[in-house]
Amino acid sequence: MVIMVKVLYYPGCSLKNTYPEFEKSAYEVCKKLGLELVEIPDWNCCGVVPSLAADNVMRHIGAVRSFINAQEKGREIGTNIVVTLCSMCYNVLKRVNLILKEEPDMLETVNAFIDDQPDYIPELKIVHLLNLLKEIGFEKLEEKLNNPLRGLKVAPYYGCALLRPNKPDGVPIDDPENPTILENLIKSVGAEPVDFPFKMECCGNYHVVFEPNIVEMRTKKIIGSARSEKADIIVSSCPLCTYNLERGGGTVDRSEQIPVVFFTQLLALALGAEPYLPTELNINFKRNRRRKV
Amino acid sequence: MTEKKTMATIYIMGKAYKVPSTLTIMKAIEYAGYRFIRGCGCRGGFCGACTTFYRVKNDYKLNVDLACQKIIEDGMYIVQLPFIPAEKPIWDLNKMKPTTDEVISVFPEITRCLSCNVCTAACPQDIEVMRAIQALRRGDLEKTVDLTFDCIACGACSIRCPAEITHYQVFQLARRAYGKYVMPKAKHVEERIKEIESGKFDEEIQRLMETSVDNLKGIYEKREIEPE
Repeated sequence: MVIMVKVLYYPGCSLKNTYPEFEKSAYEVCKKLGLELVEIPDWNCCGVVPSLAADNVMRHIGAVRSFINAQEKGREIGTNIVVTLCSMCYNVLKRVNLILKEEPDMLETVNAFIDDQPDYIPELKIVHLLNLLKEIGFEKLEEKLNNPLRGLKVAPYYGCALLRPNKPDGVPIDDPENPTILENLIKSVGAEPVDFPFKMECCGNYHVVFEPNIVEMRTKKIIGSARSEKADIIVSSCPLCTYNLERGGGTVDRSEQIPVVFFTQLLALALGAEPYLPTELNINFKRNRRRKV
Repeated sequence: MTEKKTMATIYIMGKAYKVPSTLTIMKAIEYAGYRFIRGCGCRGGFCGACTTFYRVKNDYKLNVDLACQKIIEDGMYIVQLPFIPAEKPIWDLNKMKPTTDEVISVFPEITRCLSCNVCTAACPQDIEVMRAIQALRRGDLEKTVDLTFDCIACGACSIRCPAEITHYQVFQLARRAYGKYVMPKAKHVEERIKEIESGKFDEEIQRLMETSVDNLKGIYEKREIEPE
């Protein structure tokens, strides 16, 4: 019998609305690895963009309310680990939690303002699922593979939110100058990571709303670079990056497009679980592998 | 009993009045000599037309209640807001899907929610307003609908919101979309509509329309009242 380890889970809005396949495939992967994701009850929107003003406490209330709910639930199930999947949510929650840990004044202000919930004691640990997988050990993944993705060339796309801002013991989930965590993950499922120079370039983020040409310019570069390295697919851990790479910027030539999947979908496929990929893409995967093997 | 115990001082638009301490805000205002021509509503706690903001001496909290329901407190400063100015977007329920994304596309301000929870503190119906808004962000339309069943659309939440969300209109859309597309259809309503359309009640209506006002009053008083 597999012993399930319980961790708290913060989904974020995009996973509940735009990209449910990210969450569903993550649940599948975690089940295979003996991890139980316990969704934080009544979590609030993380705030999406962390405030750049040091004293703008108000922007962080949403994250703190989620922390309080997580803290209460965590006591019940015996964990202080909060896992996120969305890169943006990870970035915001991580930064807010760090502020509250490092600045007692800020913590006091926030707790005084939130007079309708218990105080937050900053003991939660915010991690990205990639962190947790690394901690479990990628070799554990290799042991559980039943559908190695041999011959598949995968471009690891990090974007910004997993790696920036660079602060020791802070936000970056890996070396912020040359991360390799996604590459290692890709290798562990039997696929081949491609090295491409735009793996950490910004996709253009929210400029997709008012300045789509910025997103177009950037995503063309990113996709073009992955393409020139003969990547079959791009993996991402960010709903907004995925949106921008797939649909952002009006005039991108769709024949140049490379499929973008979430890393959990790739994992689920390799572990023989349901990857929640579009049917069309599933076929392409098989075709690719057959051609290459 | 001394007068001190039975009378209370309240401040209506900043002016002090001594009124019996057992009155509701609405009755106290009338006792003080004001007459409601508009903005008193149903007097039964259902319509949300008598929304009143007040502060009690030596308390920093701004409170909201319905004037027809709340018993006055000594040292209460009150102001009535029977109408809340709010933008009302136009939507067509027939062209919508019952998803939170659709609700958010009609009311994009929802995404500006700061989670301050001031809306909840303002609600005279004790609705967890912020939770209901955040449920929409979590893709949980049903929760929004459940949490806001008691909303009377007084608008107190919306006037306090730093993100300028018009919660009561958001909730109305959520409930209507849910009612139209998700909830099971009520069979008896369909049957009744068929009866009406087939002319079952035409004769009765015609008879009522030809009856004098005095006779109508008699019929009304003797009417069958639905069981509880």
